[in-house]
Amino acid sequence: MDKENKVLELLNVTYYYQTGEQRLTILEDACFAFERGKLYTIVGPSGCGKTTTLTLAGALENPKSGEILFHGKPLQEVGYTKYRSDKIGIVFQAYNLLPYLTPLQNLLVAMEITSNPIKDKKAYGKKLLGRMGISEDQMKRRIQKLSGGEQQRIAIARAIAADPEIILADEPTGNLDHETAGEIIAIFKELAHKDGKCVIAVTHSLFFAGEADVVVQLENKKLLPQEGQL
Amino acid sequence: MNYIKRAFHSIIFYWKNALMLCVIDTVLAALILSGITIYQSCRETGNDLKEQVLAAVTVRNAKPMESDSPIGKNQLSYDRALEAMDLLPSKLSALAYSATAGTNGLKSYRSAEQSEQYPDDGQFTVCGVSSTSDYEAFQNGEITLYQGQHITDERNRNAALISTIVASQNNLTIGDYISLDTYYEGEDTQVEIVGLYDVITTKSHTGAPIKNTENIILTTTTIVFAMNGNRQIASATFKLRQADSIRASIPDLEELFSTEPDDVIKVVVDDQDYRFLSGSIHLLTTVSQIMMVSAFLMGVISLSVLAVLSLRDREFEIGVLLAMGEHRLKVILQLMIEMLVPVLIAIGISTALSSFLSRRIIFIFITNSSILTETDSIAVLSLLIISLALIVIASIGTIFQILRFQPKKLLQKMG
Repeated sequence: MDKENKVLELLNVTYYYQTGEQRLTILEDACFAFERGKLYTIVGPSGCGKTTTLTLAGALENPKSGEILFHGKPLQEVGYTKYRSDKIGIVFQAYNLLPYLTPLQNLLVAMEITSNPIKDKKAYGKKLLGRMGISEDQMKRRIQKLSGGEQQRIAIARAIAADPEIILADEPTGNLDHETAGEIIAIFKELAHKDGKCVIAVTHSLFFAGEADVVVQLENKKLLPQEGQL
Repeated sequence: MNYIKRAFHSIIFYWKNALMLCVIDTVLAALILSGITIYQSCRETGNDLKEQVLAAVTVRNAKPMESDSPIGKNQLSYDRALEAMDLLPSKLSALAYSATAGTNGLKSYRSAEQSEQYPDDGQFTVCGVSSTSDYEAFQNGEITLYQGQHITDERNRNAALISTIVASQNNLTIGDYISLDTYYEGEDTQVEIVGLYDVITTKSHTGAPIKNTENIILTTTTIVFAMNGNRQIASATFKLRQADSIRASIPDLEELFSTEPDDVIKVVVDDQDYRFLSGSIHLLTTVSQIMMVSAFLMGVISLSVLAVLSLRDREFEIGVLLAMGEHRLKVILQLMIEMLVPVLIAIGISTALSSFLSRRIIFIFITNSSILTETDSIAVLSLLIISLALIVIASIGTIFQILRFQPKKLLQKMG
């Protein structure tokens, strides 16, 4: 694996849920490296810990043991808040756009939070939304007046608005029909292959998984790569 | 799109919540501001009362008189009364009596019954007062000035006021002179009539005619001292400001006026007006304090509940912002601004309402109140500080929750 392309690395990561005396282990000494310019999908049965793995990658949770490295540097050193605001963008299954803002304003929030330098934020936001197929008219509408597919495209635009290196997506096509899901997957592929982002998506969809560069199987508390088509 | 702009967009989007908050805040702010206004007005009025509503302290010597003492013998030292002025910075009204007989055939007023009983004519009571307008009978409305002017020690040393009846039956008018003889060791003297008084409340004319109100000749203490041959007075009345502290001076007055072992110094304090008014002011002050405290507590409770409810509805939003790397402090500040804006609007509305409301509240407790209620900038500033404190206190629960929020849990909940 090309060391320079390695963006995110899980090193002997263990994570479990403790309820009283019962312990549910999700990851045990799991190791995996994610590279830029690739679309990864994490697959596995329900409840195996796919979303938990994503939250660990997003620094929304800390591993019980092991380390997560960003460009070889532990997240603790990068700083969790800085990592979240500058280095990653998250796409949620339920889109979770701020309802009191327009699509463009939602993007401006992400641009305001990040410390990454972005010139002419408004123009850049419009450009991103346009790239996602959102018209000028739709950019000014209230979020609730847009379809699920449109909202997910805006959510993706928001995730990349701060120009992060990693995009984490939790079931991004879970609420969409097959055709719209196809459009969203195409956007993710474009972000990975054209923009050089590292896109990591958790999915149940075999169709989505089949489109990924690398399918990561969460099995026996380990992350196992399956290169190429399923 | 920073947290301040987000807050304003959120207020517009959730306008129903903001409106409800604004209505609640307006009611509470109006109560607090009215409370502050009433409280301030009461304090100012209370201070004014101390300056404007005078209390009277009258000192007499109740030592039993010897049987052969002439009528109207004075038993209190005028010089001690002057000394007392240092003890009680006040206006002194001294009263000195001198029983005397009018010369030049001056006839006193007698009822038919008295004419039979007391054939001797021409006995008057001469009262020396520092200022005739301070004389008790004038003060309580028993007599009133009919013509001419009041006299004071300083201005009219040889002046006198007589009753209209005596003037009429002796064909006397203002500008005429009468001679005052004395039974004492002092000097007879002449005084000019400068005023006539009417007797409004007629007492029963029993006993010696010298005691009839109509037969009182009011003059200056200087004249009476000259007639009596000493500087003794019957009573000294001190008109005092700072009526609330007057009673503390009683022992000092008693000690000052006791010159002989058998002296019985009586000090009577008349501060009823002050006590009545200050009682009303005290009641209003208490009411205003209760208003402020209860409105503040209601504010804390209602705003806390609203903040917690609002937070529950917007957990996802906070989760998203935290997941995007927003600082918790900025999330807290956004929510506080969303609370502050309706509060500021409420302060504006309540400022306009508070003067009217304060007057209505005062009217409930004191029907004929002269307390002025104007909401000033200090009251508004106080309300602003109270409101900010209220927001901070009401936000404590919210702040605590946000600090505890785990974006991952919110993310999973949303998923």
